[in-house]
Amino acid sequence: MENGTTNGSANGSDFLRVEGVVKRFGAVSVLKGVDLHVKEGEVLGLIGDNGAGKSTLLKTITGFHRPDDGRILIEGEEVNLRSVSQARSLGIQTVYQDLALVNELSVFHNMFLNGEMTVGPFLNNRKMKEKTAQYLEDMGVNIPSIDTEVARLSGGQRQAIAVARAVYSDAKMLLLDEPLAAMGAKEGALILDLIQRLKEERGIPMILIVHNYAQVFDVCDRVNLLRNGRIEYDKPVAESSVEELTELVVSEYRKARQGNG
Amino acid sequence: MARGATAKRSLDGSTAASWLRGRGVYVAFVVLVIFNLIVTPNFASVVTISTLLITVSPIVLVSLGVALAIGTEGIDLSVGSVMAIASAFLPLYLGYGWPVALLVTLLAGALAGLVNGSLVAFVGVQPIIATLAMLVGGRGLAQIFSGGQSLPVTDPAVLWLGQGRLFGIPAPVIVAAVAVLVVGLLVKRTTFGRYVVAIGGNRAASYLSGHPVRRTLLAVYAISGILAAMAGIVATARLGASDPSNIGLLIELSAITAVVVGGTPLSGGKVKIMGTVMGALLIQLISDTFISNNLPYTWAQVLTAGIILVAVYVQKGRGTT
Repeated sequence: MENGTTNGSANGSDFLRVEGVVKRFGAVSVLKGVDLHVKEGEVLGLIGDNGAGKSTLLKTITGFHRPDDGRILIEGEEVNLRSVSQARSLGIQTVYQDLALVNELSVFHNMFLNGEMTVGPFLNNRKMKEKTAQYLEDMGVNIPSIDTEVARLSGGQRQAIAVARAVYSDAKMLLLDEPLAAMGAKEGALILDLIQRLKEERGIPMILIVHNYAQVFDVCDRVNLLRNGRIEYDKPVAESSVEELTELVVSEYRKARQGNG
Repeated sequence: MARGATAKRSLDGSTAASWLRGRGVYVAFVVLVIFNLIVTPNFASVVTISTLLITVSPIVLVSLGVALAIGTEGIDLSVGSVMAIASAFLPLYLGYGWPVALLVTLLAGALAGLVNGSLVAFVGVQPIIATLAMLVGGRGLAQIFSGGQSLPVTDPAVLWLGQGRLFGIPAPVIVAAVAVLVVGLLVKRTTFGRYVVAIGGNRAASYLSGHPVRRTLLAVYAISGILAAMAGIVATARLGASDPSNIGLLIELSAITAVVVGGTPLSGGKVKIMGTVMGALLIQLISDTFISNNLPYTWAQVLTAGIILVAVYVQKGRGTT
């Protein structure tokens, strides 16, 4: 194990601590004891091979999967997350890889998916429209019309809506699963800007799953590598480099090839 | 390829197909009405129109439920059999007074719907199979409950629902109109309506954002069962007797046609309530037109089939993004 120095330091300012989390699907253990922590205002980059369990880890923190072992602490208190709604009520918001937008619904209805505003039994469409317009403006996101069906928007615009939705539902922490996947350089830059601004202006702690290491160094404070169901590398970005991260992954690849040969 | 996509997008409001997508059923209906005004003798009479509306009322009632189920990317094939169950129950409980009989009948419909919904939501049976089982079994049960015979219904309050009028408007039309209004409000203006559309549009997103997916599915099929029971009550009252072997027979096909022609895609994610009503009116008007002009009814079926194909073709354009 190439355990870094910051790991395991019981810091009082940790927003999130994950201790020894295990997740099995039938006979397959995807997470075999994950230890991870994110400090207040910190952006953690999570890297790892395809199928390493990054998304599973995220879905465990967000209450979608229940861990088979280990504990999750939020602001120092152990939580027993039973549902996505419960994690959301604790301020943990997730932007999933597939964005979890409903294509057939308008921008503003997607913005309030399961946070729908109502007057008595009825939807308050007017208020949801006003808020959506205001949020998107605040975030500097440009969308032709909030009445448009999401299906008609570009990848970057869709991503921006998913991020905005997460941020404005009282997010205390954001989890982003490959926010830049399948996105052009220009749109990717827009999302990175957005993340940078959220970090600077709101100090929201985040976990970012990323594939492009250059992007890790753009916005993250610290980087963790998930491998073999554990966090095997944990260093501040300042002490790490693209070369080091690449070497880590490439060495694994070489090992795998030798194993096959 | 990207250019093609943008071109299509910018033309979206003006291409014939996308224009028709939302309005085709209205256009077809208006065309057929004009045709009838010119060709059919006595078409513009109160009798013709109220007969059309009375006949279409049960279809509209069941179509609303089917539209909700289709909106969740499901389907409800059992509506005709649930009508039969309702028809069987109604005379059995009239001895306790009409309010009890109506309540029990509606509960029977809700129960049948809950069985469908439980199979879909909790057991994970595909909606087409779950409701097919109810389609087959429901009519069987209806005949068992009724002892296989037609019982007379004489209670005036119940008969009113099928034969009465309020301010000249036939009671079945009033029942259907109220149901349209309520379901329309549910779909357009409540969180329940958002859940229905979200489940049909992107079920994974619905789960991930914490929607009560299972509960919503359960409710959708229960509502469809209640609406089918209402249709069964209206049809029985109109007949003045229960008829579990014939009431609602094949009505699921009319309902699916009405929903699809009305612009609700079978892939879910959208529910068009007014479109569904117009779809039901359109197919009823087609068969009325053929009958009142002494044209062979078989050709009405062929025309209806053609309209279904056009409706499906027009909808194909969506979901390409």
